[in-house]
Amino acid sequence: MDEQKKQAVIDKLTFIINSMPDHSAYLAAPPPRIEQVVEDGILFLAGDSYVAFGGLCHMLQLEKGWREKFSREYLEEEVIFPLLNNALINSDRMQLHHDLDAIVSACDRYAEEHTA
Amino acid sequence: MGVDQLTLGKITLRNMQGAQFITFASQGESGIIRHESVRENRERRLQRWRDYLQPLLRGKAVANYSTIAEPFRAQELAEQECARVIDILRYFIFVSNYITEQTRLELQDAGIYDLIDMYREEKKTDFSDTLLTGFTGSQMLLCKLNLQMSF
Repeated sequence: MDEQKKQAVIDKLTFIINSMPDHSAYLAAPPPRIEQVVEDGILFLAGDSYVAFGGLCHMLQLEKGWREKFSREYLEEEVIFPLLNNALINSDRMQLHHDLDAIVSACDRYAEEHTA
Repeated sequence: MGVDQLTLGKITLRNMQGAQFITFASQGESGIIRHESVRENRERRLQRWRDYLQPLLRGKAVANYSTIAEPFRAQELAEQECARVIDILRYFIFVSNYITEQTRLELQDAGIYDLIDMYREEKKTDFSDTLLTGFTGSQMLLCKLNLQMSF
């Protein structure tokens, strides 16, 4: 993943966290919406944050070689939610950049074969 | 299916009878033992494999697909690839409902293996997509005709 795309991913993560509704606004928001428990809290995605979340999933699926290896569910569970969790507890963009680097390298290295 | 196995692109159709089934069953067990490190989970999965899945597969033809992907994506790709292969296979053998050694040779002569190769996700083009849509359409038509004839 090139630096420009990493920056765009971080921008999206930050936007999602900043535009996330609080619990009462989330309950009042019309569907579609997602309530996701993560390690350090709960993510409420509705309205703009939900749209940005979908955009981020799509952006990651377009990463070269990732669509073949990862389902959308996997990218949500293993990439996006952990990063959102980190962004939720720490607003330091540099730290988020390091976390993203680590996850991207792990995904690029993924080479396990599975049989269905 | 009258042959032990038939490889069509990345899909291998395996005849789950006799020795073939025994080999497949033990491969399945080895896979579970290799991938499941927690003893209780391993025992539960082995039990399920023996009591539920093996009786379901015995005597049938099963499709096998391996790829470098996380398990859920591997399953998604297996279903997509298998649907394509089965559509093509059905189109070419709709006159016969049994695959024999002869069918295998006929498939080779008709260029079916090349055609299946063309449909692989990484080689996909607009042309192969259009062609596959045609095969799927023909399949639906054939099924409809068969249904009408049976009534």
